[in-house]
Amino acid sequence: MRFFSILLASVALGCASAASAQSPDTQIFQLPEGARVHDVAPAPDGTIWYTAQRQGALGILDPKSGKIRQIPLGPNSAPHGVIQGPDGAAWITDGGQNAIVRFDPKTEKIDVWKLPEEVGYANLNTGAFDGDGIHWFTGQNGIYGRIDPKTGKIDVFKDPDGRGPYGIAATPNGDIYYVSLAGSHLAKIDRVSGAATIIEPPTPAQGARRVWSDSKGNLWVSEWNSGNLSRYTPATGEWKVWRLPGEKPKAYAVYVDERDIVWVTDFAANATLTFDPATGQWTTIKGSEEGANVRQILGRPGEVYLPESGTNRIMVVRTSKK
Amino acid sequence: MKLLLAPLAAGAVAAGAWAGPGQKPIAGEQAFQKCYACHATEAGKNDLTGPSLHGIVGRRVAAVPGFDYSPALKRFAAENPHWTHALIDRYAADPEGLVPGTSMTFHGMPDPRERQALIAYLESLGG
Repeated sequence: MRFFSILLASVALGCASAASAQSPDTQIFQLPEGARVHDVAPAPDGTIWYTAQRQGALGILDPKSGKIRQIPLGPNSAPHGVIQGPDGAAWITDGGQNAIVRFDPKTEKIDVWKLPEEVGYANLNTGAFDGDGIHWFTGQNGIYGRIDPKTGKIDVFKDPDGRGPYGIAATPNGDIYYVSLAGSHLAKIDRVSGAATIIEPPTPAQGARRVWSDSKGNLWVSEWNSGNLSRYTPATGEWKVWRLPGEKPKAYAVYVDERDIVWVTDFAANATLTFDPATGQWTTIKGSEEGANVRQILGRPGEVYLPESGTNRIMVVRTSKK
Repeated sequence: MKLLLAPLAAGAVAAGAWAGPGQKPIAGEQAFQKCYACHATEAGKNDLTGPSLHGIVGRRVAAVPGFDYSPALKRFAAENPHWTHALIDRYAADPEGLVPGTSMTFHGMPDPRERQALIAYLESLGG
């Protein structure tokens, strides 16, 4: 475990596009050279976890002090996703180890559950916990699965369309949905049988990349190929679709904050956009540098974290004054 | 390009990469699993997140007609016009390191033997 000094910068960023004038309160943290941040998650103690994909480590950033530590996760580790479990631990989808990894922040114990040999290389992507505390995960090579944290039992299922399972999210009532980038679909998982029911978005071949739920259980989907942001309402089966502003948008990550404001990243614009469904208004937060490439978004009330894989930085956006 | 083929194939054999005459190199096919989610190997199948890797060795960089490449890769192509063995090797090792801003989401293949097996496999597909 090493400590790193960091570059810390506070910036006021301008807004562009069809956006309201706003200077969000942001702070940028430069991560250890070569870490290549991919995903982030809030930790219970106010720090921020991130996956250092190139260095096979879980990073811990303290935004108050600026201190950064990195915890090696094991041989050949290349972690993609990280979330906080109901147990307060970091749950990591580790493509390099083909395993689900748990880091306990209290004891610093690391548990590694490798996928069964017969599954092969799954290209593990992202995880989410259902209402019963079961961890569900996706693998881009065509699988999704679950692990019971109490027993360590793993079940793996094939996506009906094959390769593509990418983002995954839980709704407030504990249901699990995932999207398939190559399969261009949303899917709801039967938490008992494990079967996936495909839900087709209205735009063909849209490239559904990530998904997140709002407070009402509506699923928001970022569409990589089409450049759309779409919303599925499970109660009615209805879809609504919004085109991102700008030319040839490429929607990558999506997240819905505690105010039900939707955050979505656009690679083409090198920006993160916020969308208020109540007013239809967009705002734009530019990347800290060209090619910021924010591939995931997560936060906690009052804060949103933008991991810039291209610049190896984390931008913290504070959405409310404390 | 042919001059580069011989040592590459020899390296693959030495690493135990080939399954046998007329068969696909096993280690290379395994290495390709890290690309499989986003790339097809069939000619013309460019409807995945990445373009088909059929005929990638020697192909022009960022030049599949109609494919929506990132601005970063298009700029890179101006200085690096063809996917040579060496260039594929460097890109597979660290995509974002070689092409900052690339939209390809892959952390890289640090083992040079795995990269060589991958390149040999892709070359064995023809094109």
